Amino acid sequence: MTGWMGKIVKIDLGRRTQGAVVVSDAVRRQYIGGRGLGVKLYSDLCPGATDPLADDNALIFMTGPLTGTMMTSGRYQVVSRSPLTGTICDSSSGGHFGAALKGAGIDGLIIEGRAATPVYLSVHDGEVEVRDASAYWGLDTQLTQKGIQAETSSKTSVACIGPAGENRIIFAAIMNDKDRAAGRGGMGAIMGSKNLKAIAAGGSLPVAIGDPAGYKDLTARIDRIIDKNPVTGKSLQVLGTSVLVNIINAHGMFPTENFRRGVFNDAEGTSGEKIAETLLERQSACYKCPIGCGRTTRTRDKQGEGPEYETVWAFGAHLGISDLTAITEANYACNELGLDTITMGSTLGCAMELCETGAWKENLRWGDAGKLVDWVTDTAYRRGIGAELALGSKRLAAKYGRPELAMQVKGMEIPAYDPRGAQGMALSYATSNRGGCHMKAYLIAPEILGHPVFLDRFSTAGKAELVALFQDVSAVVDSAVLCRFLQFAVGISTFAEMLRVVTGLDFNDEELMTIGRRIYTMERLFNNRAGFGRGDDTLPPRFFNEEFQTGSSRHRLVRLDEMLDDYYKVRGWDKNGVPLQRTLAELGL
Amino acid sequence: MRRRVRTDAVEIAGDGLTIMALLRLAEEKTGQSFLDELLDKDKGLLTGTIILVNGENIRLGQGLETRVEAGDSVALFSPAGGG
Amino acid sequence: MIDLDRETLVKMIDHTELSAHSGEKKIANLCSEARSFGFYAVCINGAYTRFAREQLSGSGVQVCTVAGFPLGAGTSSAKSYEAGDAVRNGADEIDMVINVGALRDKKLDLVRDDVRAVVEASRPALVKVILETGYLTDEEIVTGCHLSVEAGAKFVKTSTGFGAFGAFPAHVRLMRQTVGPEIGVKASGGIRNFKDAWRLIQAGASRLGVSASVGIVEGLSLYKFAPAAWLEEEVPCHICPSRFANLDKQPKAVYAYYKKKCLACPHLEKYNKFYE
Repeated sequence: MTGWMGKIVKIDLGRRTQGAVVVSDAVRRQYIGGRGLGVKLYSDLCPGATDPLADDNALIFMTGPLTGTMMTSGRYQVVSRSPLTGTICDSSSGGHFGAALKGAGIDGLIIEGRAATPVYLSVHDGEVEVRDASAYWGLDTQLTQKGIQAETSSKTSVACIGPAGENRIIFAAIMNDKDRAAGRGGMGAIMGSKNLKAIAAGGSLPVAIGDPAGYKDLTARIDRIIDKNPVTGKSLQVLGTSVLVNIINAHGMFPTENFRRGVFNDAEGTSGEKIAETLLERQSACYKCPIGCGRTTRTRDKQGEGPEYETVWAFGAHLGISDLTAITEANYACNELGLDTITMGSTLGCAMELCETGAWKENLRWGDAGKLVDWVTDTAYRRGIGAELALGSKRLAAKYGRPELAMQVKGMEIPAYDPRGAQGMALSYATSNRGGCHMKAYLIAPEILGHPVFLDRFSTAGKAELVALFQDVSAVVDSAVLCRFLQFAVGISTFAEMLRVVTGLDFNDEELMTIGRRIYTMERLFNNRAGFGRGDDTLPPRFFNEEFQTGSSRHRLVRLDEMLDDYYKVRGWDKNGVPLQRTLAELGL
Repeated sequence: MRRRVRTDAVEIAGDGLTIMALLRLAEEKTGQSFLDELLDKDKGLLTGTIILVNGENIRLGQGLETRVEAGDSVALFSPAGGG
Repeated sequence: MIDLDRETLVKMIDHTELSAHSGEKKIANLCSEARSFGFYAVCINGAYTRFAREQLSGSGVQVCTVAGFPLGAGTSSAKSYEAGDAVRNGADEIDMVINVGALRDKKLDLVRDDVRAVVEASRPALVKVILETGYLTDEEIVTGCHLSVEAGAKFVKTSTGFGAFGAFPAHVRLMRQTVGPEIGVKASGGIRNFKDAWRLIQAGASRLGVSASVGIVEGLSLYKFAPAAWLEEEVPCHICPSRFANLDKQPKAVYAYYKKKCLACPHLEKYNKFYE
């Protein structure tokens, strides 16, 4: 077997037992690894309505056969049931940790149970050691990583939680390799609930390559493709993801003040261009990545990574804040404390509108940049107003009687693209298996960026087919595991080639499309069992009822009804969004 | 684009110009050649180039032959991506 | 789904670099890419034939050199010598430019003899004849095809890339209809991405002269499972030569020919904003 290490370790932190999990060749072929395999294993282990923060919930860290081989292959996936949404959730992070797990001799970890006292796992040479982490409990993610590295080796890659995860904040993140984040869905809270502070991995066990000559040729070719592509070869390097600020704002869909407006007057001051001018020290790259979209930045007193586009929005336009330094320092705080910046920022925006309408008698105000870091910190420690913010926008808004003011789908907050400006994104948000997420089907690429082809963003025609296509391809990339940004430059047939040369198995693009569909459908089945159906494939009322008055997305509403039935048909699901028997049979489910 | 052009905005006099003509005038006015950020060597739009006239993408109009009027605002973005 | 595989596509590509100002580094890079991706040939100017041959040794990639390029208005002796010289330097294919002026003057024997001379001088290399569609009417394109085939050319080709028109599906279709299935039709000029390439292949092109080859090949992967709508051109004018007729670049008669076609076009009413 090449590509995969062939070892997945299951560990029960309560019983202090561990053992190897055997995955058949057939299952490996059908789910590949990463998200796909993680979802499959999780569904088998916890098919029912397991409480995400209960001892018997499983938390899965999974890599794929390509992890630790070629460009962008340092990523890993975390899979479990989300405490934020209750759906199945896969959370992806960059950096080196995925490659470190392979170097340490394993494909993945399945963690069950709860340790009696704080522990961390040390993975090396195919073995998983449970170590005492009481010295680290309470420390932020940066100190934790440094501390564990000092104890093990400077080359160790550490994935850990900060105080937010320890306090089981339902949108706590897992941080690794300084500031890379498995941000969405609250996977950090699950780690916290298990008293698991960190996982450290290191080693130099090589990943076996099936066809070394073919691998060399293919990766040389892909290098050229990445270099020649203007997005991967230029834009992401020079300006990072925040290049999108001015673009999305110019399209009148930069959500401002809890999605009440689509144009932010001070967008310029929080753009990628502005970051490059004022805060940027240098770009940074993940494992073997030629793109290098990361931003190493510094404010007057602090330094760190980011902010990325989503964060620039979540702490910026979404809250009516244009102070880039404040936004950046709030971003650093989230990285240190281990919190998802999107949910954090979005919840603050919801809170501000709740206050403005008088539904909540607190004093959070639009534009109040000075308090950002305090709000973030209080949330991580669940103290003062933070105890309320820690609920996330859905529960917070429901608590104060205005559920419609939470900009969320299935409990996960919608990110920095207003769906009234792109009908395909509206469908994407509504049908994402982990809730309001832009990454599962990034329709912004064709609808706004014109990549690979330009589509009319206000048309609903053909969007259903497209959303399904993107969802399936993305599922494959998440299972290989590679970086989503490669999808700007290469397509599914090339991903098939990558898998062929590494695994030696004759994957082709049609099979990969089926695998993607299978993974997506399996996630859907889990969600169906967890009680999600057609009624949850929707958006907050604002998007159906309120029009922008200005900007180039003005006077537009989401027309989900024109796309949803089509989508179910394309997917082979019934009118309630439940997969039909023949669909399941086709996919071997 | 801004690094090439050394400015973030420029005003051009010209009612009824096509976008193509406008781009050439902008090159003259800024003294920087930047068309290759937006166009390929056959002077067609690069995949990913976004040109908006008052917020509307010219690809939905007449492409580079779209005509602008006095008072119009034209936004130029070279190919970009993100997440 | 697109029923074309990568292997077939790369073997349809002449990876091209014909700029006057391209130096050795560019040509070396071109050859390296051709080797890496497995393109059928590199297409270059004569000064680099020997260099390209060396760069590509052992790779299986063919060398295609241009002759009488880009104007086609030299003597047959000059063009023949240039072609023969290229073949002696290692060229496997010669892309020559037809005598456009003579074709427009209806000096059919002159045109045919000119091509024949180059075909003879190029043996055993294969000859493609560039018609330069931007200077011709449809009738002249048809005539040019017939003469080229009669003279022993194995391919007809749309454009030099330096003339008034690049490759249009309408012209490729016409050329394919004229020469039948055995003779090659090479589309070149202005092919920027996979969509452009795919339309030309569907119109009957069997070879593509492109410099954006890397992106085009990856485009197949990106579009393979895409909805058909992505590849269709909604506005017929966008891929119609008539729209791109340009009085500055074309003989007046040719320009007028294309503009007249616009007036007679059934799409005119719907898309008349493109008519000037």
